[in-house]
Amino acid sequence: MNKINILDKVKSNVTNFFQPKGVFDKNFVKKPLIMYLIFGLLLLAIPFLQEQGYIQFYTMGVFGMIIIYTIVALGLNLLLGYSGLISLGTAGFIGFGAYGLPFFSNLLGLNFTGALIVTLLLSALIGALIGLFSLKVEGVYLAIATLFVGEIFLEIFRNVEWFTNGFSGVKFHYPHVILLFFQLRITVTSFILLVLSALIVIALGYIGFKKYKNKQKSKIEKKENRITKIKSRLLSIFKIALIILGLMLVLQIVLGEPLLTFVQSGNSITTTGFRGYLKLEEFDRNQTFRFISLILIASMFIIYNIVNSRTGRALMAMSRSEHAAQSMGISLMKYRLVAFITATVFATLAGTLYVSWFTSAYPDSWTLGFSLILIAVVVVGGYKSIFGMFLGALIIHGIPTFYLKEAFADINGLPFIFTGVLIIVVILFYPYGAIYLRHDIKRLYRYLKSKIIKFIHLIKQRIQKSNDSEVNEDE
Amino acid sequence: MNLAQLIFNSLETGSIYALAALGVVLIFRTSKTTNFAQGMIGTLNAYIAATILMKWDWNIWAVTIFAIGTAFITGIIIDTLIMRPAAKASAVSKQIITLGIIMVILGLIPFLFGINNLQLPHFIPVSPDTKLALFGASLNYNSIFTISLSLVLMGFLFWFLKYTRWGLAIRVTASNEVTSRLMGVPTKSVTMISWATAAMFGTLAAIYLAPGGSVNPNMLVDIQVNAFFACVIGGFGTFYGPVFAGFMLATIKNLSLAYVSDEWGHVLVYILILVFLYFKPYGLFGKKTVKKV
Amino acid sequence: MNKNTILEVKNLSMYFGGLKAVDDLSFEVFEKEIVGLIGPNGAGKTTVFNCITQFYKEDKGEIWFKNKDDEEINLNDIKVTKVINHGLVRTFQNIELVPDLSIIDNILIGAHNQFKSGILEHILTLPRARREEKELREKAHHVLEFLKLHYIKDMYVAGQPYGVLKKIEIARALMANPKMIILDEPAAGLNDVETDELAGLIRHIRDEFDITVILVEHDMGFVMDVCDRICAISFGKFLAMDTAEEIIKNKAVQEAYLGGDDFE
Repeated sequence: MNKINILDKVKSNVTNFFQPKGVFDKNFVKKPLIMYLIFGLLLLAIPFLQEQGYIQFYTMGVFGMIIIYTIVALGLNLLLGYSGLISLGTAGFIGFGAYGLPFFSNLLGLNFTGALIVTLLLSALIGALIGLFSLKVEGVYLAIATLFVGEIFLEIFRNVEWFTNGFSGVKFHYPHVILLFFQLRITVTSFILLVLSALIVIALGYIGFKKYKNKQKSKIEKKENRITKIKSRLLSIFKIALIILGLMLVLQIVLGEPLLTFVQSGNSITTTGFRGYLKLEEFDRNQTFRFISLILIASMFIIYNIVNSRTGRALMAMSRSEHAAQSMGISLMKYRLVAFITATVFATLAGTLYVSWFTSAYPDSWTLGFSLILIAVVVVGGYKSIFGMFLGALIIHGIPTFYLKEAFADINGLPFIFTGVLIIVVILFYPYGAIYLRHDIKRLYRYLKSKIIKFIHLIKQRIQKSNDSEVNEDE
Repeated sequence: MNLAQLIFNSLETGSIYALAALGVVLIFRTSKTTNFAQGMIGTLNAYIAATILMKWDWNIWAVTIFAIGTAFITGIIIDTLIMRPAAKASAVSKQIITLGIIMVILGLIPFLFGINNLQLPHFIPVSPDTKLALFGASLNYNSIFTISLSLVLMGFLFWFLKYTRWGLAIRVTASNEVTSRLMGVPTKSVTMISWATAAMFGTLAAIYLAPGGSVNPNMLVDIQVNAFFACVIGGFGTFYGPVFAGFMLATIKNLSLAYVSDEWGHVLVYILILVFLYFKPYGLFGKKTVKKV
Repeated sequence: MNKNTILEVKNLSMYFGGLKAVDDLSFEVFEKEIVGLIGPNGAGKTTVFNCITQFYKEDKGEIWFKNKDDEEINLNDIKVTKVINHGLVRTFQNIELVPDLSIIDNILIGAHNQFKSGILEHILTLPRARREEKELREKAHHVLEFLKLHYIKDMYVAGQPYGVLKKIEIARALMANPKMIILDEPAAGLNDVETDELAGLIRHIRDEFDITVILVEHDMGFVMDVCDRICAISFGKFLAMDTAEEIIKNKAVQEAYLGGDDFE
């Protein structure tokens, strides 16, 4: 008896040991945040593939535009999908980003980062105004009020020459971001000491974190005492520091700048230096693409975290019933502002990326038609879906520009017909968005699989039967 | 430009806005969606008119009547083939379907009619002989004709809505689609007729507008946007509100351009309208509907 | 206000144009009591609720409430979104849940104001935000366990049967640590078995969480069964407030209901 028990124990231990955990877990890859990272890595590969000649120069440009579409759609989805509000002025905000960035960097002499921040702040302000407006005006009236905002932008783009340079358009350059700029020289020994102390800090932080977690478990009921409070503050700082470090690392990979440069002085390596990862010089085309992709991934993270927090729940409660939301303590004003500001800031951000990627902007791009196309990206991609936005952008912008323009260059207007029919068909058959195609694909796969298995089974039976009959004949 | 001339010009633009707005509100009330494609449907039929005029040398009157006929058919086709299967989709989805229609027509135009812009003449040729001087303004006969034709058409529509069986059917469908269907109103035909009528109005607007510029894919974009504005100012609740607001909007915009500034005139008007909307969120003639909890 | 009074409505009046929806209404509710508000159609029951929870700002009158910290406050001075912080929650006649959120997420909406972390903390998923989310999720799980719904907590609300939806609404209200719950027609649309279960549940909630309950309901059997006291109103006017047995005998109430055959 004992033996068996021990054997069982060993067995279960062994199986437990081999149970996939963490990174090895099959579901680990399916976690959304990990998926975004993988997706980001795939995007980062595009410039590389272009350099190697697998992807055309033109295709990479289209991909840049798809990414810009996706960023706008992510913000718009918070408004349209989660909050049930509609904006017909999105194109105006993208245009504002595309004109604001060159304008502020020329007029105020700001660098890229400074001009970007000023532009985004201004658009947030206008977004807040629309949010306040939305407390009074609702439904189709609100939709057309946002169309007014879009038209106001359009009128300004067309007529106010000192801001937009009129119909001749503005020119800009690839971004040159300055986040960190420093150059530091230290000796190798002190560098090693620094690394060691950093490791110790991290280890201590980790231990503290573990302890803190355990404490939390035992003291759920008790009020937080001061020490845990301070600890949680420290942990926050620690985490922010980790995030910054991680970001620096990522940026370094993106820009291809070495983290550490060993400087030779004399014959032996004695000093080592940190260099600013983001320099004053302009990005080249590939770096710009990676920069845009990074912002897309960051946007996906941001939207995912907003949506899966109390903010997202509040937005959805508000879109279902304003009265119920209010009785649950959800302030309409606050969340209207959150929704509109996020949507406008994302649109403006995309606009600034547009002008950085294409290095020019013209007034007639920012019409109602463009706003509608962006709404179509959300609707076709799928409300309340994050990857759906990319899929929508790919369907609405990517497919027509990739294939049809080349394949049917002789027949004018076919890409338009194709897109139009596609939009109608997707909405009729996938009212919740094309992202749900995957369910159907899965179902089809299962169906085919079962059919094939049946088929194989049938053939086996036939063979067996024929074998049997052969045996019979032999007899 | 003197004031009388300004007002007369505004009347002409206003009548186009009003026609388009009436189409928008008709579809909004019966199909519960804002139809972005109305301008494009009008443009398509204006292309048909211009092509026939060029190819077979028909006169403008015949061509107009023919185009109105094709507009009627276009409206019916769009309603039966596209909007009716999508009846259960959400309001935003329906709007995006109308965007899909825009894209299809945008693709069809170069496919069917070539990439060149086409021309349409005035109904009554404009020359110094066909002008009327009044209060220092010179009114040409063509403009007078278009204004009066629009007014007559809109008057006819109001009479139709108010005093005929079909008008009643449209009005009850507009106020509550489900109930009227249960009461035996043929709501399907009502929406179909609304689409057809809206398409006809759009086409008329396009044919009015074409002689001033050309027949091109973007000719009605501006009209379409202003029609929406008129609907909001007048309120979607009534049929006469948007018509009134259409004339008003045209007048205010022209006045502002003339007396305020070329650069900021329209911007100023739009901002003023937004302020107005803040205080009257359902337009001039609209009423708030209270939701029960 | 008396020592064990939790809610006191004083001379409440509410007009819609010329219509007097609520006319000089006064009544009081004691702690840990289940009170039913009854009246013929259009008597203004839901309007009274809307006034108490501040959806409507009444034209006249005062509504005194003893809040979580045992302070007496006039609800009229409080914003509609802040009422819940004082320990007063309501459910709705027509289910007002978010259909494409899971059940547990819907319930977390009720704990909206218990989050201390702001939107930036959520975006960066800082420890405090994550901890709060986890703790409140556990709490929501306990509430669901109490209502025996925990085994379907991750399912979507869309497609759940009506009885479950009603329970989810009650769970969402419980999530807010209320002192008093207002139920607007909780039994509407339920079958007999579900109604019985609901009656038991309401009493159970009162005993378990020490909560006062006010409810509006048309199912008289249910009201008689579950309520300690019943307040009858007609055309916005106060008729009587008493135990079920006394209310049945009351002349004024019988008159108001004359012809109403659901009154046994």
